[in-house]
Amino acid sequence: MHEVAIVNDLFRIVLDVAEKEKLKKVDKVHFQLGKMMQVVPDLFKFAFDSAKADTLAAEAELEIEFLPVRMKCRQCGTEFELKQQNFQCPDCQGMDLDMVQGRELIVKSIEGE
Amino acid sequence: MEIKVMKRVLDRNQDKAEQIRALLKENHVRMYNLISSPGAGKTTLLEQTCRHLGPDYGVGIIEGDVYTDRDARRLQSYGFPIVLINTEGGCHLDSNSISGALQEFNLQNLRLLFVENVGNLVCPSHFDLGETSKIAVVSTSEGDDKPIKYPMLFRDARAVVLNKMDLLEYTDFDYNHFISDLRQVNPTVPLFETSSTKGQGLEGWFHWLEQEMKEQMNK
Repeated sequence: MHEVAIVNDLFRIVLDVAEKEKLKKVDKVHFQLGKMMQVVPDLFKFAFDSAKADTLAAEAELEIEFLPVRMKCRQCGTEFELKQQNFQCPDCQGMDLDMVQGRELIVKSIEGE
Repeated sequence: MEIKVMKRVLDRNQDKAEQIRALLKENHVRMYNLISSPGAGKTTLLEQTCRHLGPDYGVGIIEGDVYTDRDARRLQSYGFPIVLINTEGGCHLDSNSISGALQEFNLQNLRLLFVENVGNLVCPSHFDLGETSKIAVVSTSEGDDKPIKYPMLFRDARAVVLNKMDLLEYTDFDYNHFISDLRQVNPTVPLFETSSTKGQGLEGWFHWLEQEMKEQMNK
């Protein structure tokens, strides 16, 4: 249920930006979500809909862009998408890898007027 | 009108975690964040560890509990300072609650601080507490598929404790499968096979911990 904590923080950002931009309402929130964060989309949307009531974003729609997990091999530099939790470089079979994408929780943009 | 934002959610948690990390470093305290499912044996492992290290080692404990003080009461008898954080149903600790708890300790008297996180394998692994390292604790009665199901924790962990080894023969836990999955997710992490209730297999864990503390002293 870390979904609730993430949504609460997301709203803090959204409402802060809306206030600074003097928006009367927020129509859409574009959110980037790395797949390694193990967020359950339905739970996340439910938490979003619960949190938006009585705010400037009461009618806002949440659009989630899922970002796949990408790894980079420290030995040969190959970058690849992680599949089936197979943490091994497809080129050199090295296992010393850095995660270069997959942990994102980013409010990319908001739409409103 | 579309407004570009590009702001990271949980940044506040991360910022506070970095402050905690700096504060602990300044005071030469190492903090270990113990993460497991409910009932994997974190408290018993801590009891054994407290008993081994003794009251003069400079240990402190932050006990995360959903509602009760039962684990904290179990650990109290070892004479270490303990601060209890009740999350009131929350499924993880965050850096803000740790920051508050740290004010209850005299950091100058501490060397080693254990955080017993709320029993949960998903949420706690996403919230940096400012710890020196995360420790993953799993037990044979939970099944052998945890590393592959929760790769983030097992990749981040600096050590893994496989507990309840004494129950292995009574479960369908596939030991080879567990090892192969763990090594697929994290090829190098040290693994300690223990039975905390029986006090078995703990020497490796104690030794590792003491080595970690020596490294700290040499820094």
